[in-house]
Amino acid sequence: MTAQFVIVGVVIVGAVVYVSCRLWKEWRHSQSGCSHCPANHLNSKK
Amino acid sequence: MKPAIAFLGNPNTGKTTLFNALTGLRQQVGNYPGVTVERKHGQLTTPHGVVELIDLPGTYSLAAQSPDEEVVANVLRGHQKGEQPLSGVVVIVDASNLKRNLYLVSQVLEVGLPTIVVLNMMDIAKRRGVTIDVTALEKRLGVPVIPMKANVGGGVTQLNAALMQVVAGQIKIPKPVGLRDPETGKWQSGRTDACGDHPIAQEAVARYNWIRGVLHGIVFQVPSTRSHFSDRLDKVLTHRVWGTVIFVIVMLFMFQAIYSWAGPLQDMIDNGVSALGEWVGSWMPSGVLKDLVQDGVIGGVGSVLVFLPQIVFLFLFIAFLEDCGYMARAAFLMDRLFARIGLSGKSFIPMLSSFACAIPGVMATRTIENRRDRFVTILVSPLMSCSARLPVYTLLIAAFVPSVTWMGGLLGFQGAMLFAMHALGFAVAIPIVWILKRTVLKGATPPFVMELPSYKMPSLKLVGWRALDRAKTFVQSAGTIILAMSVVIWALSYFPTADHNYFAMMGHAIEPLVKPLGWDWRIGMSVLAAFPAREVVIAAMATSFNVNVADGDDSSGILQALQNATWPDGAPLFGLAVAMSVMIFFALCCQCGATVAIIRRETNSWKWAGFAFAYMTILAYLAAAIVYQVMAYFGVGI
Repeated sequence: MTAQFVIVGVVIVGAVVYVSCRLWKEWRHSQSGCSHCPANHLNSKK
Repeated sequence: MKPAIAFLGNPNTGKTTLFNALTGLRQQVGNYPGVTVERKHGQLTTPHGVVELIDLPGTYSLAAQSPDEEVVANVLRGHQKGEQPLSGVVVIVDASNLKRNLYLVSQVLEVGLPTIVVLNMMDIAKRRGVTIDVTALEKRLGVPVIPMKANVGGGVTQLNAALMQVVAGQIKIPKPVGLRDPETGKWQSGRTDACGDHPIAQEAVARYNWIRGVLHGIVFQVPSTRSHFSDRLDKVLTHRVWGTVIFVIVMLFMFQAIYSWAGPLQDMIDNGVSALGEWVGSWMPSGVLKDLVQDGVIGGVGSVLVFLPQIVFLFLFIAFLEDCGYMARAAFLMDRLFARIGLSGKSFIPMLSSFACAIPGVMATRTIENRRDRFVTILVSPLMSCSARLPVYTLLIAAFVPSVTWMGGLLGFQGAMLFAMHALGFAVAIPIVWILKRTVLKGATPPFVMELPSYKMPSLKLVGWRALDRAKTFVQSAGTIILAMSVVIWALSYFPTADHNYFAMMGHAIEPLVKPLGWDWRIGMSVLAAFPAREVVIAAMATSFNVNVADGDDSSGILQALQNATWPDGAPLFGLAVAMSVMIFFALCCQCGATVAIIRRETNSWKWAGFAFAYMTILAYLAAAIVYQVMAYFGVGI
C-alpha cells in the first residue's frame, strides 16, 4: 500500500511540475521576443 | 554553411505545394491569399550536397508594406537577422496570369542573385487558351524558365537540375531590368500626366511597360466568347444572396456530417477505452494506484480521445473546401460585411485560420499592413470557435439537442446547432470590431484587392495530410497537457477522502459565482480547470460526474452522467438552458494559455494580451448568464 502511495505521489508531483513548466515555458517565450518572430521590431516601427 | 535558395512568388501560385514536393515537408497549403505567413525551411539533397530551401510568404511586390513583405525583402537583400545570404532565388509565377506575376520578377531581377523563374499552373494556362513561347521568354528575361504543373509533380526533375546549377555556380546573376534613369534615378515611365510625380505610380507604369515589352509576341491567348467555367461559378458563389445561401447550406451539411460520419469511429474508440479500463481493472490490485490509472489516466484521456474522429472530419472538410478554392469565395463574401464595420477582407483570413486554432490565426495577421487593423483582428480572432471547443459542443449537443434530421439525414437539428455555435463567435466579433474601430483603435482602413484563385480538383494527399497533422496535434495534447491535468484533477477529487475532497471544497467555494449561469460546483470546477487548455473540460467533467471507466463507462457514460446529474434537492442539473450556457461560455471565453501568450508576442504588449483575456472572459460570463436567465425566465430548456 505504501509503495502504491509513493508511485501515485510521484505521478501527481510530476503532473503538477509538468503543467507548471508548460505554463512557465509559454510565459517565458512570450517575454523573450522570439528571434523568428518579426512582431517586436515591426510593432515599434508603425 | 549550406547554400540557401529562397522560393517566392505571388500568393496562390502553388509555391508551397512546390516547396513540399521538393523537400517532403507537409505544410499548410491553403487556396486563399496570404496563407503562408512564416518563412519555412526545408532541405534538398543534391549531388553537390545539401541545399537549404526557404519558403517565403506570398507577396505581390518587394515594396515592404506589411510585416510579411518586409521579411521577404530583407531575406532577399541579406538583411534578415538569423538568415544567411542567399545563393539563389526561385520565383514561382502563375502561367495563366503572367502580366501581373512578372511585376515581382522585374523586382527580383534587380536584387542581384542567380534567379530561376518557374512557370507554374501550365495546365490551367492551357485550359484558358494561353500559349507561351518558353524559350523566347527565357531569352528576354535572361534567366532559366521552367514550365511546371506543381500540383501533379510535372517539371520537378527540371527544377531539381536547375537548382543544382545554382549550387554549382553555373547560373549567372541576371542583368537588372534598368528602369531608372541612370543620371536622375527617376523611373522611366514615359508619363508624367496621369500618375503625376509620385514615385510608386511612376514605378508601376515603368514596370508594366517593361512587362508589355517582354511578353510582346511570345504569349498568345485564344480569344474566348464564352466565359470560363470558373467565372460562371463565381457569379453564383460570390452572389450577395445566392452565395450566402450556398455558404450556409455547405456549412450546415458539413457540421451535420461531422455527427453522422464520426459516430461509428467514436463508438470504436469508446469500446477500446472501455476494454482497456476493464482489462486494467481485472489484473491490478484494488487501491489508490488502480484508481489513478483507471479514473485519472484512462478515464481522463480516453474521454477526450473519443472526439478525435470529429476533429479529423472537420479538418478534412475545411482542407477540401480550401484546396478546391471555395474558402476564398467565402472570404470575398465577408469582405462586403467587413468593409461596413471598418476592416478589410484581409482580416477574414486570420479569422478563418482561427477556426482551426487561434495561434496560427493570430500569427496570420502579419499580412495586415495597418497596425490598428492588425491589432483589432488579433483581439477578435480567438472568438472564432477553434477545434478544441468542438468536443464540448458535440457532447452537450448530443446530450440535450434532439436528433432530428431532414433530407435523408443530410441536414439535421444537431448539425444546425453546431453550426450556430461556430457562427456565434463570428457574429459577436462584428460588434466588437465596430466598437474597437471607433474607440481605442480608431483609424482609416486601406482598400483591399482580393484575388480569387481558380477552382481546382483538391489534392487528396494534401487534404489527408492536413487532417492527419491536426489529429497528431490533438493526440499529442491528449498525451501531455490533458494527461497531466487529468492526474491533477483526479488527485484533487480523491484526497483527503473521496467524499470530502479538495475539488469539491474548492467547487463549493466558487459555486455562488457560477450559480447565475445555472451551473453547480462540478460544472464550475470543470470549466475552471479548462482555463490552461479547453480540451481538459471533458476529462474534468468525467472526474466531476464520477464516470467510471472500469464499469464500461466511456463518452456515452459522460453523456448519461450529464443527463442524470441532479442538484442536491433532486432537481435535474442539466437541461438545454444549462447546456447552452456552458457552450456559450466556451464559445466566447479565452480559455487558452497559449493564445494569451501568442497575443503578447504578436502585439509586444501584456496590455493587449490582458485586455483580450479580460474582455473575452467577462463577455463569456455575461452572455452565458443572460442566455440562462432568459431561458429560465420563459421556462425553456429547464
